[in-house]
Amino acid sequence: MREKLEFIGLNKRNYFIHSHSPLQTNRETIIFFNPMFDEKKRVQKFQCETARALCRLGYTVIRFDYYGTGDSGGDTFEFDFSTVYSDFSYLIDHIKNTFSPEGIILFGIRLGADLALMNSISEPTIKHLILVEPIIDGKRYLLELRMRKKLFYNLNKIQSNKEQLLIQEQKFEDFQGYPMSFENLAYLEKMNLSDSNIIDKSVTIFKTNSISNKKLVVKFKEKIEIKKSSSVNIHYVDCPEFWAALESVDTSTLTQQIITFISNN
Amino acid sequence: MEALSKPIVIEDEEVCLYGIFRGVKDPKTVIVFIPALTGTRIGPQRMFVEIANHLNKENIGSICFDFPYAGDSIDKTHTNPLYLRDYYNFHLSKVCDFLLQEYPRSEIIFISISIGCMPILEFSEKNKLNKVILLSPNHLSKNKTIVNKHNIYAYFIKLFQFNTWRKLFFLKLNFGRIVSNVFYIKSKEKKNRNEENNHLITCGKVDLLCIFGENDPELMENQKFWKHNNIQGRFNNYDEYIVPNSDHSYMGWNSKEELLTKISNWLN
Repeated sequence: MREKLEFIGLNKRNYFIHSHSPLQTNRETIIFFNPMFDEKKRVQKFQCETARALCRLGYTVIRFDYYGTGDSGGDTFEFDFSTVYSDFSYLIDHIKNTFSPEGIILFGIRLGADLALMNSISEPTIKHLILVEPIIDGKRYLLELRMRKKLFYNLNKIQSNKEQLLIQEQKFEDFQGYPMSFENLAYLEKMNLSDSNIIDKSVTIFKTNSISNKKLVVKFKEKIEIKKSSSVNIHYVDCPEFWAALESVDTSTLTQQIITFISNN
Repeated sequence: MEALSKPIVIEDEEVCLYGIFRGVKDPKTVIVFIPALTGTRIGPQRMFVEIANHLNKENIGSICFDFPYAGDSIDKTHTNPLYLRDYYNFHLSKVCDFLLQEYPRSEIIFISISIGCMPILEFSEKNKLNKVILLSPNHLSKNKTIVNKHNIYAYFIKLFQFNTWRKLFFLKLNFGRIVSNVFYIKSKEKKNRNEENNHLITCGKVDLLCIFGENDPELMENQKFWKHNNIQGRFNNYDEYIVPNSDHSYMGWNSKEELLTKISNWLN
C-alpha cells in the first residue's frame, strides 16, 4: 500500500488530497466525502482506518478536504456548498487522469454523505454510493446544530457570544468557530435527501444506533424506491459510541461491516 | 515571497508521521503544531491551519503534525498513548530530528494544546528550544498519566446524552470506573499536588506563553500550577493571557481571532 499526500490546484483553488493506492489494484476508486464542523475531527481515525482497510482489498481510496476546510486552501469562512459542486468535476477529471479507474464509488459520512449523493447526480458514471449516517433533513440538522451550540454555551457559562459575525463585510452565523454564510444556511435549510432526483444508482446506507433518525432514513428509502429510479439498502450497525461519545472511540465494528459488505458485492 | 503548502512525511522503521508545511522557503522561524492526544493536525475548529495561514503573512513558517493515536500517522512500535510523556517524547524526537535536518538555520517553536503542552515544554527545554506556546495547558502526574480531568463535570455532560441512559437501561454502565474516576483520582491528586508542582523539569531557559480560556472548568487549577512554577523560577519569561468568554478549546470565531492576535503579537 502506498499513501501520498499532495496539494493540487482545481479550478484555481488549492486542494489537499490524501490518496491510498494498493499494490495490486482492482481498478475501482472510492472517493471519501468528509463531514463538516467538528464532526470531521471525530471521524478522522475512522476514515483513516476504513481507507486503509479498503486499500488492502485492492481499492484506490481518495480522501480530500473541501475548499476552506481541513488542510485545503482558503479561509474557514470561505467554505461554500456551491464550490463543492463546481469543483467536483475537476476532481473527477484529476482522478480519471491519475488513476484511470474503471469504476468510481462515493463514500460519504454525515453531511459528506449528502454532498456525495448530490454530486453523483451530475456524474452518470458513478453508480454506487456508500453513505454513513447521512443527514436526511437539512432543516433538522441546522436545528440540532443551533441547539447543540446553545447547550454548549450554557453549560460552559459563556455569555455575550455573538450569534452573527461580520467578516469582510459579509454576515455569517458562528457555529462554534465555523462561520457559515447566509447562502450556506439557506442551502442547508432547503436540503432534503428524500427530494433528490437520483437515477440509476445503488445506495447503501450504514446506520449506527447512536443517532435517533432511523425513521427519516427509512422514509428516504421508501421515497427513493417509489420512484423506482434507484435502489437503497440500509445496514444497521451496533456501534453506539460512533457519534455519542465525545472523543476517540472504537469504530472497528463499523469499519468491519463496511469491509464485509464491499467484499461481498 | 509566495507562501507554499507542502506535505511532510517522516518515515523510518518505527513511525510514519504526516505533517503539512506552510510558509516560505528557508523561513527564519518555524512554528510546529503538536496535537493533543485526541486531536488532529488541523486542531480544534481548524485553529492550527488558521494560525499557520495568518503567520505565513508575517513570513513565519509552520508545520502541523498529527500523531498516530487520533490522526493519519502510523506508529509501527505501538507506543502506549496512556504513558503520555513516553508517547510524546518518542514522536517529538522524530519530529525534532527532521526539523534539525530540514531547517537547520530556523528558530523552532513548539505549540500544543491541552494535554500535549507539558510534554512539548519539557522536550523543548531538553533540546535547547527557547520558546514555547501552550494553549489551555494541563499538567501531568508523576506516574505519567492524566490526573486533572474534571470527571464530575464530564459525567454531568454525559447525563444529557442518549447513550448514557441507554447504557443504564441495559446495565452496561461501569459504576466501578465512575466511582474510581470521581473519588480515587481526586484524592490522589490532592495528595500528590506538591510532588507534581516540583515535577516540572525545566531550569529557567524557556520563554513561555500560556493562553487559557476564561470559562475552562480547569482554569483555576491549571493557572495555579503554571504560576507556581513561574514563581519557582522554572521559566526564563512567563506570559499569560486569558481569552474572555472562551472554553478549553476556544470554541467560537471571536475566541479564535483573539488567540491568533495574541500569538502573533507575542512572536513579534
